[in-house]
Amino acid sequence: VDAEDLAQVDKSLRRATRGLDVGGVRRAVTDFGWYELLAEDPHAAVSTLFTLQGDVLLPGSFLDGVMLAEAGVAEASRVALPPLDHLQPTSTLCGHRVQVEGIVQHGDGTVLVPCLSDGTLALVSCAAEDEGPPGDALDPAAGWHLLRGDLHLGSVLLDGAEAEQAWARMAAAGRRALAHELVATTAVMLRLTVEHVTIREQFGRPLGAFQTVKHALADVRLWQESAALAAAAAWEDRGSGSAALAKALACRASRTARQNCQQLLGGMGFTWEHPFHRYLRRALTLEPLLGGARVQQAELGRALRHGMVPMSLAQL
Amino acid sequence: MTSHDGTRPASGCARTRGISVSEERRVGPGLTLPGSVAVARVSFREWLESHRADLERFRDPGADVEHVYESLRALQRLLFDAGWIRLGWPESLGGLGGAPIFRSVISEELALAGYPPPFSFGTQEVLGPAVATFARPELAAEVLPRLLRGEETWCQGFSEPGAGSDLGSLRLRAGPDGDDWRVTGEKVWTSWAQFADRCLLLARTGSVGSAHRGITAFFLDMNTPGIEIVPLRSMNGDDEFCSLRFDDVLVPGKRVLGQVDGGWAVAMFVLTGERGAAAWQRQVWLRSRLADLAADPRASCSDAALGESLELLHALRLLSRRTVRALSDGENPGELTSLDKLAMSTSEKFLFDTALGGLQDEIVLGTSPDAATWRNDYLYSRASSIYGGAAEIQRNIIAERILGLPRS
Repeated sequence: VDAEDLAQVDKSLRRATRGLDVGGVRRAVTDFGWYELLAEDPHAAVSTLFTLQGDVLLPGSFLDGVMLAEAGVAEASRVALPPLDHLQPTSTLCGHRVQVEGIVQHGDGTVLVPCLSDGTLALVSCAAEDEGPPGDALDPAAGWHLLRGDLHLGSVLLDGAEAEQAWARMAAAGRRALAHELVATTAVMLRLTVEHVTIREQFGRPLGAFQTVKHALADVRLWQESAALAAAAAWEDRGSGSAALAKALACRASRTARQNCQQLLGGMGFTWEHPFHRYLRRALTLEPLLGGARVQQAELGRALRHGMVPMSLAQL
Repeated sequence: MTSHDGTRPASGCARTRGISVSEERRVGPGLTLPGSVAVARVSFREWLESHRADLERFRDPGADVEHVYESLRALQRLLFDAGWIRLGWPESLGGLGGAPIFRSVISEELALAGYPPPFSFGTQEVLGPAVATFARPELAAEVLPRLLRGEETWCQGFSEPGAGSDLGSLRLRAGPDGDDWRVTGEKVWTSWAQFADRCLLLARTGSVGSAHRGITAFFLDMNTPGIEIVPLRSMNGDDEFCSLRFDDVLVPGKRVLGQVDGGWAVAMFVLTGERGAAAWQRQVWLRSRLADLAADPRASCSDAALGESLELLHALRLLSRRTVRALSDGENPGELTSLDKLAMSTSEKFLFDTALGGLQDEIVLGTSPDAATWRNDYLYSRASSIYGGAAEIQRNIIAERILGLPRS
């Protein structure tokens, strides 16, 4: 798959999903053959769809599909992600009951729940029918809601070392995908702001001519560029370390854009009408999934202390 | 957190496929010009391993400046004779040919194996490419092999008391004298000029108001009469800097680099080189200091601070890798290198702020050589957002030339 093919995938997915609701988007992506592409070339599949999702804020999420494909699990269609700002699950398995504490996509499919059973990790399936609680979350279109409670165990899919390895791969795959999506939401926030400060005049000149404004946007550009390179580089070894680094840099870019772009968009960016808040909502929802910036940094720091991060990660 | 650290180049990446693949051929006793980055890496690792005993004496060159110079010079010569330092330089300039990216592979592997950068590694990458590109062929063919062999060292005469970030306003004057030039004026913050054999000097040859259009680059011998070198101690206590006074110094016409009044192009080329292989060397070193900090039992840094430092250095490494690859492919990365420079100062300062937080007793009150090293690195890191184009200038360039915001 070369750059031209990727552009073609992007174009087709963009056209097929335009203006659809969450169900329509899911069908369009399936009909396009995205899941086949995911099996064949996950880099191409994930980098195109998640970038598109962040760019136009497609409703719902394909994170479940990416993580399940990575683990080779066909017995579930959704994943109960650990609570916000956590990489490690806090759900527990006790006999035939699963005490679930997680985040899921709206829907009625079987849920894979990573959980602790006597202190060791297990990946189990649970039937769950829920459209989520009534009312709206911060970003209703993202389709994530809290799942808490006592569910009946379907079956144990993986346990012991196999579960540990599968979860590590799933988490890394999820973080790579989220990194691509956050890079794209950041790029839109930056683009909206560059347009605004180029047109909007105060004190007789465009806002963008003031050095303070330039410097704030230069920082957004620096971290957005770094995050884009890190998301691409995470596919080179597909390791946990490079995925954590990609997501950490994506969170940095997103955080910088949320803060600096909002400030520079001023009163206009604070209206419902301006698209900024929709990107802000999506960014705030995605950043803490599978661990936010501090969680990833602490994890990287521990790995570094144990000599587990190769000196020449991302080789020439 | 383990990750594959093999020697296979990343596949599926169009950028990697294009680089550095030169035809594999024997270029001298015992050395075959590598066909790829991966082959160069493996061959050099093997060579380092099999020459471990010979190289041991270079591992710690000590603290005495004169002795450090001698040791690094000997290391440079050894690596030149074995051919490694000649990889990626044209044969006409004393090299063995092959893509320039080989130079970055060699410098990284050497650092990873725990050796200091040889004698003129920095100069080689900052000034070498500019001299190779802009000097008359016979001059380049004379001086570059000497630089690569470690027989001489060069300095960079750019900044002046009145021209730091605003380099285009420099005033050191070069006036014509027949075919030659006479130079009068001042330079400052010139690193290691007291040891340098040559200087790449920027001088004003146009009118006072000609700004960047009236500057010419010269390559002059530091033993030319009329040059006074005054050491200028830096705040970390190093004698790295000098201030230079030029009093009617005669520079032959054949020592002009590039075009008369075309020195700005040479200066920009040097700055790009600084952000290419030289920056790559620096990020390797910064990463090794982070490893030192993470392994130091005295350091009370939080996991998150260490991880954030790694995150910032990863950003720098990826930006720098892109630039090194582009330069090796003969592309001009242009204003994108301002991103590299800003990432470099941000990550370097963050790393040593983290060190200061975790090793406060050592850095503030410690008296051991190790404490002195951390203290020196911390203090030196403060300059990283000042030298080579201040962070403010980089942000302006990113905003105006990359984002397209209006010039003020």
